[in-house]
Amino acid sequence: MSAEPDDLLLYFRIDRLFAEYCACLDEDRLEDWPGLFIEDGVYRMVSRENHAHGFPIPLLLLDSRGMMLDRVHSLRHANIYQAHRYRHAISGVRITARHEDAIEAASSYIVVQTLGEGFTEVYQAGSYYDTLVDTPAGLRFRQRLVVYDTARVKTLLATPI
Amino acid sequence: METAVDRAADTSPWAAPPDERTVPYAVFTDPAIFDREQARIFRGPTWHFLALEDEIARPGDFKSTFIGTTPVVVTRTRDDQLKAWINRCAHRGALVCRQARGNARVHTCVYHQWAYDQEGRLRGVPFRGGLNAQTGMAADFALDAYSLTPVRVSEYRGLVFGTLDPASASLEDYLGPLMLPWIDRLFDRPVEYLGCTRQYAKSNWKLYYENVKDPYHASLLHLFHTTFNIYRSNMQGRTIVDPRGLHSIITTTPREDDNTAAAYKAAGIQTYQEQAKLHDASMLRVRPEFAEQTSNNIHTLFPATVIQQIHNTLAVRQVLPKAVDEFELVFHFFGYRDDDADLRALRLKQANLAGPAGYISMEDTEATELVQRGVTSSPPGDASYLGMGDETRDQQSSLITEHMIRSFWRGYRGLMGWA
Repeated sequence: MSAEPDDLLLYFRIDRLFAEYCACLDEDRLEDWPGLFIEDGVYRMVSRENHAHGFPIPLLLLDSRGMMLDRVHSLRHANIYQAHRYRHAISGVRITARHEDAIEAASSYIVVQTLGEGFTEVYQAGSYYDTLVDTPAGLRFRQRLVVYDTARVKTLLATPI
Repeated sequence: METAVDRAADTSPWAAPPDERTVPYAVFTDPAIFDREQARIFRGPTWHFLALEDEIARPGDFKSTFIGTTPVVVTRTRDDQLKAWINRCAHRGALVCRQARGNARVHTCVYHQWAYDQEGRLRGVPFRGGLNAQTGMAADFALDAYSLTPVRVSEYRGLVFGTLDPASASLEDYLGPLMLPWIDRLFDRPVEYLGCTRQYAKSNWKLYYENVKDPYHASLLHLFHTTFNIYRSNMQGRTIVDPRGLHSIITTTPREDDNTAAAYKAAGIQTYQEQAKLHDASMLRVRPEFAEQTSNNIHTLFPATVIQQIHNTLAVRQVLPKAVDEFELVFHFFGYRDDDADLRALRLKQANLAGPAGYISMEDTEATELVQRGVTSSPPGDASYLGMGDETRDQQSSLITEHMIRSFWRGYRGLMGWA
């Protein structure tokens, strides 16, 4: 970020990016989700357990927009899983660092999942650690690190968090 | 040792003599059978993966895990011995160790602070000699009579196994000469633990064990393979079973002259999509690192261990039964200590293939749950059918076979006393 931006405006722009992010995943607009990352953006999911001990193995590691599109394509056409719908709730958003060309932000999330039988349950809780950059299209993710507390994934994880 | 629980499921759910091609659904739904498995298999003469040696590399390092439903802690002592004990205080039965992993010289039960050393020997009891005028522990109390129950441990090439039955054969004899070379192949160098993933399935643990002994489903359920042209059932395969039927291995190795695409198309198999291409195929790059670069090596070590090599991603999976219709599945990923940066990065990226979110593994737990939901409330005698692969012909090079599952059930019936 060139000049130090006005905090209110910056928080508002982050909030709009997160709202769009949630809408892509919660409203079955998966194809739009990779566009919220820059071309060589990184999406990485790691358990809190591994993260705390410095173990590097990810649950998902997509280090280009192409890999994210492939994930979506595979979910649409190849993988088999129960029809499900997420609802993301993000809270406690805070800017944790400001750099010349990027800001870092951290937040908490809860994702509830509704399956075909009609029950809704908490599917996952955790933290987002983001590196965000300004682009002509608006604020975008350079990296989203998802550290999930819910170590035991219920059955499987198809759609990203 | 026979117990009341044992006798409860004393009668085999198979008719006598058992039809090898059927599996009564009761084995997936009957709590009495689940309890009998815990007694005769998990607390019986079987060996169970507990940890990679690298997970407990330094003196004092420990890890909490399970053998079946029995809580167990495995640790490295100050004099570099691998030890394990049942995680149950000798006083009132509470869990002593409450952390998943860590480093400790002493393990103290929080309930009354009974303190144990790394080998599980009781070292201290508060107020043992009483306090002021109040009496202490019973006069005949002796510290060494109340240690934690030791678990026999054996290490093989960086893999740490445990058994709850003091009468178990040695680990090497248990695994046997047909299976050991496949472990040697992947554990020929020091390994480095890279972390784990966990998932929880609402299904019986044996449905997962059937799944990992079932190459028939691979190209049919895991459509990622066929959609992106990675796995075809005409790859060169091996399906080898140990003589007792307990352990087995599946390997697949790509052929140079693969024309399966045409064969799938001709057969009208719907999983084939000609045009599907990945935008970014970096995940599927393979770094050759074995004399025979198998694309898949799924090695099941009865009853609850699976060693996996898929491309360059390596893991030991642990199947932990929790209830007749629930189990936890833990993938322990590893690399080699001498990995270069490129290979290590590739292993992390290929973790996308396996684990709870894996492109070619996410369907497995889903399939086990579909079966569990299907067989619940099935009438007595209702059974599955395992007819694929003709026993009169050699099955060891076929990937369209259920012979490893049939062998598994044969070994299972033997241990359950239902042979």
